Amino acid sequence: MADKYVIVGAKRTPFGKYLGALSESDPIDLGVHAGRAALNSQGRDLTPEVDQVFVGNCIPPAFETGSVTGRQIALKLGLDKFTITLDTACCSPLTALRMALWGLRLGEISSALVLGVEAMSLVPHMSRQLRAGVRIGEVKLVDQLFPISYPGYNPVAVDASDGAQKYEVPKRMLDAWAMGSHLKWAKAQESGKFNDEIAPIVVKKGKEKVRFEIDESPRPYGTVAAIEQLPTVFGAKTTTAGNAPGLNDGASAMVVMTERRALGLGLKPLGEIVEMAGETDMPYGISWIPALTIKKALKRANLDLDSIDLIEINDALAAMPLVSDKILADGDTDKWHELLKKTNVNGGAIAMGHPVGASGLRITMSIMYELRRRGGGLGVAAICGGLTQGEAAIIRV
Amino acid sequence: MPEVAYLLDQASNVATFVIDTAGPVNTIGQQFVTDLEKSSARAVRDGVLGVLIVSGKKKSFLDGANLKEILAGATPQIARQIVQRYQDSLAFLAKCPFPVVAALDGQTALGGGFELLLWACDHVFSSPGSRMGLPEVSVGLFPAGGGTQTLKRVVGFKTAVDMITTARVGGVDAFANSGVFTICAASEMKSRAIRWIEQNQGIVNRNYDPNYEEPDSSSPEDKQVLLNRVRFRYTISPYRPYLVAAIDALEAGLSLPFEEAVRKEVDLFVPLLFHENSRNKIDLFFLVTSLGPKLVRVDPSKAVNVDKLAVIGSGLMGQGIAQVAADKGIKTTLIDIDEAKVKASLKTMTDTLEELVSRGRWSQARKDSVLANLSWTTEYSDLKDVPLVIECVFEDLGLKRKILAQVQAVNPNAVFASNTSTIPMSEISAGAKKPEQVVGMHYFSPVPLMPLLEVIQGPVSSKAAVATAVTAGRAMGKTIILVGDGPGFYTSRTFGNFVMNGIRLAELGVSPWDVDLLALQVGFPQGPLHIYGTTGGSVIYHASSFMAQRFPGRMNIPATLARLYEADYVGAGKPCFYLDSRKMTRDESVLQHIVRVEGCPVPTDQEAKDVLLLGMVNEAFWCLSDGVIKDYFSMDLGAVLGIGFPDCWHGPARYVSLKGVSDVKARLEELVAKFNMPALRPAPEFDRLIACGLESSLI
Repeated sequence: MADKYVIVGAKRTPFGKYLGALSESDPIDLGVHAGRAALNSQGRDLTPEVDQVFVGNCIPPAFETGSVTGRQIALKLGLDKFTITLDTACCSPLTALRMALWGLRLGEISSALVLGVEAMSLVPHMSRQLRAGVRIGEVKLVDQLFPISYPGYNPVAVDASDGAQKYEVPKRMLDAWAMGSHLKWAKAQESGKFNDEIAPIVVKKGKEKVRFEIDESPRPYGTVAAIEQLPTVFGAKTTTAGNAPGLNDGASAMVVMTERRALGLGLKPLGEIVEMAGETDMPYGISWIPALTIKKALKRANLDLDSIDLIEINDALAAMPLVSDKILADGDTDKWHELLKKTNVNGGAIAMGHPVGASGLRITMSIMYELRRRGGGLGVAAICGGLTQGEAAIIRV
Repeated sequence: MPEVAYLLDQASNVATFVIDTAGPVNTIGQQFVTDLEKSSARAVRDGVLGVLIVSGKKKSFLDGANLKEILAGATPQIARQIVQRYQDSLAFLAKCPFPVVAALDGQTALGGGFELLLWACDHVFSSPGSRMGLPEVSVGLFPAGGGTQTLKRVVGFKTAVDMITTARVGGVDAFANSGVFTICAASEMKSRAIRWIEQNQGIVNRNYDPNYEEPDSSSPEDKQVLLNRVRFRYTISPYRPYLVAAIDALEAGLSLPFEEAVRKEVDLFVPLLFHENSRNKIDLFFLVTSLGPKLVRVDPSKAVNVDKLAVIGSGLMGQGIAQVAADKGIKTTLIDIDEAKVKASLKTMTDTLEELVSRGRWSQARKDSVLANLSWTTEYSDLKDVPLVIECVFEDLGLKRKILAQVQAVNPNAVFASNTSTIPMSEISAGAKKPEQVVGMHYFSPVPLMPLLEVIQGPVSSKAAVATAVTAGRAMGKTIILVGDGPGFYTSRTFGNFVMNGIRLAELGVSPWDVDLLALQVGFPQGPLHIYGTTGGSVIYHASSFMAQRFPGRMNIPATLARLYEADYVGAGKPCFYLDSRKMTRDESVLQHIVRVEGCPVPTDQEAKDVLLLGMVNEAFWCLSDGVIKDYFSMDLGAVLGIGFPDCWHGPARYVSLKGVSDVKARLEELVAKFNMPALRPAPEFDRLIACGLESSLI
């Protein structure tokens, strides 16, 4: 009988606002913190059991040395194990998880630590002109964060907004979804749901040290009406600062193993990775790629959508869950609404923030913990990445 | 910079307090009170001959509490402390051994600012343009800086009650005979004030003078009777706690000594700040005054400059629009094919304006300027160089199309605005030479008084035409909501639905007068059956026939409405269901026209109230689903300013936010099933919101 692949630890830092609570912390330390928390979440240190390390990160210039950043984190964790650092934009941490799954399935490894790290507050402005010297004229300082786009392509905000228009998702629904994200987060926060996934962290705040334990971005006291009044950005038709997440800092980590190894170590599997998939579409397809990826993963797992109890589709912008669920519902309005009701049930990135290289693992652990609180079930988490790649993970509890 | 600066004039030994708070108008916050206390204490220490209070701002003397500051993070304890401190600072100043005088130069003294004059000042000098009043109930509060006790000593009890309960703000001339106010030229104010101080040394503040006689000599019993009547009239709806509090405070003054009565104000005031309906009113006040005027964003460079316009149709609406335009300096031509009619209309307008002048509401110059800007014609050829034409003829598609063709034949570049209340732009402009020039400008009657203008963007209306309509509407002083096309647009559709639901309730067995009473209890300014008569049954019948045709299945014409129409029981200008509009005596004869619906239970009071309020709420959300209404601020603003949605609920969006989306939807479904009312079928928008995880926080 084929082995199963299970998650035995999953933790993240609370997510910080742009230039907020985590902005004075080194991203390596954020990764170490999340990794250590995941490794110790079952009451014993699993560091000696890790075979390989897979680290996703999206914008490496935030690190002091933006090379083998994963290896830098692993060494600081005391893990002299082969470490892969990879970048598939926002897909990065889920691609890292999928690579770990390859290794587990191939039998090359039987355990792995998977990490996602992002420190958007620390991304420097950069110039390519200085190395050769500036002989005359201005120096151009490029901002890697503004707008988030790739040379020769539309900003993500524009493609997402066009996708919403194509699938007839009106702006007021994007805005309603955004406010809903904050409210769902507030309700979950109030009932302590995030205690399962958040590992509080002591951070520097000026000269003081403070304990940071609650996501910093949510604004549950806003209104849809106020969000509606915000101006659109980057020439997009419907994207505003209100129906998009912020630029955030944070790290997420997961420890995965073959079920045999986990049970052999006496560990309690938290959830099973049933299947994963990566998918692509034309670079402007950013808003619907989660749907295509979910379909691919379901097909590979020979499951159908009706068997799925919970969905996480990263609120990269409000358009992503709304457009993707509409595609999954084949355009049927009632079915669409039913899918939306089981999507991001505890709020999404618009509320808690989107540290781009850490969110993929966050949605995966969110769905796993929510399934556990509900006594089990099947969930799928999907995320879109720059230039339209998608990752999806099907989790069973 | 202190918010109340202290300047001592050595020669006269009179101290001047200059009020100049942060922000564009002077308001009362913590800092102001602190500085007022400091300046008062210093005046006592310096042994001044008297104090003269003036403002450093051009238009504002002192315009009430800084609500944003008081509400930001305030607890009941903090709120009580602020109000109490303000009262104490006024009492301290009032009891100082020297005279206190204020001078206003065409400035406003509102709410707490007016209360400063009423409580602390022995005399007030003002130039003629100053305006003052206690408008607190219009923001969900009531005067708690002594106003319920101090105003009556200046204007008498009856007038005080009226001013407070109606939130009336008026010119200073209303107080000219009180003996407390002296109206004089701005240039003489200061010298007269100083002379007054010199001549009135040792004066006892009237609020503390046991011998002071109120201008109104009616007996305490009469006053109580008056208050009972006012209480009955203004507290029909339990959702206006601020009016209850205002009347309670006024009543306290009938039995309690001054100092206890003003303390009672504080007790009554503090809970209001945290009351749902008061909060709604406060938020609505900010929506109407700050956000509302700039809610619609258009590119002003696309708008055509409207320095003149033409109004086609010289009926009541046409006259109103022409008057408002001319009043704002726009050269306005009134057109009617019937010369006698247009002349008669101008005569009516002139008479109305003359009455305003004779009642002191308008200056002669203002009237003259309106008439100078008005002209009339019967010839369409006179429209050749008019940039904006507003059509307000009878609500008939064929007629409107014909007029559009005539206008575009003469001047195809003019923006053609239809003041239709129901007919979509797509239908009016179909087949026109330049359909992109057609927009809707839906005014409300009476035009000079109603603040709202609904601008309708048809599917092919050009940006320039919309920008022109919006800009011209703003120039006419209107608050604008911009809505999409569709039968009845937003306001008529929602309003019509309210009237139809009222008739339907009567058909279900609720007495028509109970229907109206229940509407008042919910917070509507008028009941739906009263509206039927005052609006005119024919207008209602034609509009609802039109709507029923466009929304088959959802909207239909109640059999009673058809019967009333056939029986020519249509009111028009006078009420139906009542014999008169003053005493509101019931006209029992109407019962013969009511077609009783069988097979449904008679709605309870609560059910009937929900049909009325939720019916309007639901239709507003249908407008959102249909793309007519585009945002929640416009939804609430338009509902309150245009169609009498209860202001104590802020608007349909706030109401749903407070009650919960799922609960509202479930209640509607219950009512649809029980009373077979398809109009109450929940709007699809509710499902969208629920799918998005939104139960509240719409606005």
